[in-house]
Amino acid sequence: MKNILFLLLIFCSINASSQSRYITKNGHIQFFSEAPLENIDANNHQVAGILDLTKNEVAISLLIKSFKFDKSLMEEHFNENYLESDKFPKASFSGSFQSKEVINPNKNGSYPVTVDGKLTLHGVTKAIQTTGILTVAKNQVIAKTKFQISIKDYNIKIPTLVIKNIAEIVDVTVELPFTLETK
Amino acid sequence: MGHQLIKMKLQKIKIASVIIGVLVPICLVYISTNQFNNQAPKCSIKTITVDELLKSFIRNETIATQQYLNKVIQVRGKISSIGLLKDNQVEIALKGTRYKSILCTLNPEQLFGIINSIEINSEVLIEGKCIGFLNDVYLKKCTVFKSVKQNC
Repeated sequence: MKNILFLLLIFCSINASSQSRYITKNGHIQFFSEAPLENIDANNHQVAGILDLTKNEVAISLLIKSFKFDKSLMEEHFNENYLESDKFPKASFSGSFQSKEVINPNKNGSYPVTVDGKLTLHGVTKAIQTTGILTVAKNQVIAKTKFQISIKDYNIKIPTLVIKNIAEIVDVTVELPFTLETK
Repeated sequence: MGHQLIKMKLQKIKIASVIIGVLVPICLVYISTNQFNNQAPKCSIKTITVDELLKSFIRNETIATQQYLNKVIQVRGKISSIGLLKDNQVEIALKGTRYKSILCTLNPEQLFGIINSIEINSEVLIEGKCIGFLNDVYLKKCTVFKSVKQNC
């Protein structure tokens, strides 16, 4: 009887852990630069990510060339001159998060979280901390956060000629609609 | 007399507007569907299957990236999904393994009429520029060819 209970417990824990991994391939990340001469808005709707609610971990990655700009010339400069996407085709983030409450994937609700992790962009990895919201709703978890990055920190060089066109601090908005990973 | 002339002119304008109104949409639909069906894939471009492309990235991502990044390639495979991204780009997935596939965003020039012309599970040849690998291989500015056979 004890053995059966033990096996049942193991089965339940395996099942619980398999129920806590969420994935996305269509996350959205926006870069917004507000500068005296112009505002630049770039959007990437092909962000991939994994969210593990058992380990409270998150990892996301994206291709620089998936960013879309309003002006194709801006997109060209972004890829060729600033982000050097041929040399550094990807950006990634991996980190862990803390929540005051236990995040229950079976209970709908919003959970404020603090995320600590490492952001790799343009071949430079930096530690960042941000706050965000995890919204749980029916096999889906939507992660939202906003933070700022200094382009200098990531060794992104802007020529003096266009210094008034690009902000030194860029706003980053993230929205990741994670769905439960099916086995 | 003058009144009759004006009447005749008005009638001619009416007939011309009706002809233009009917013919122009018919021509547009004909051009768009014909472009999709008859355009032939270029023989000079490297053609590869979904499995071969995925395997090369899984085996050695660095070498595969050097080989395919920024290159226009043709990939042969089965459509597993057709979706609309939030920025209104159409994304077609070619069936790979359970978690990995080839994701292609379509060339806006090919959008008109294409959605009704292709189906899930149909065999296609997709030509597009490889922009990298995450869990999937990404192609952009893709053109879809219904016929998988090439006349090379």
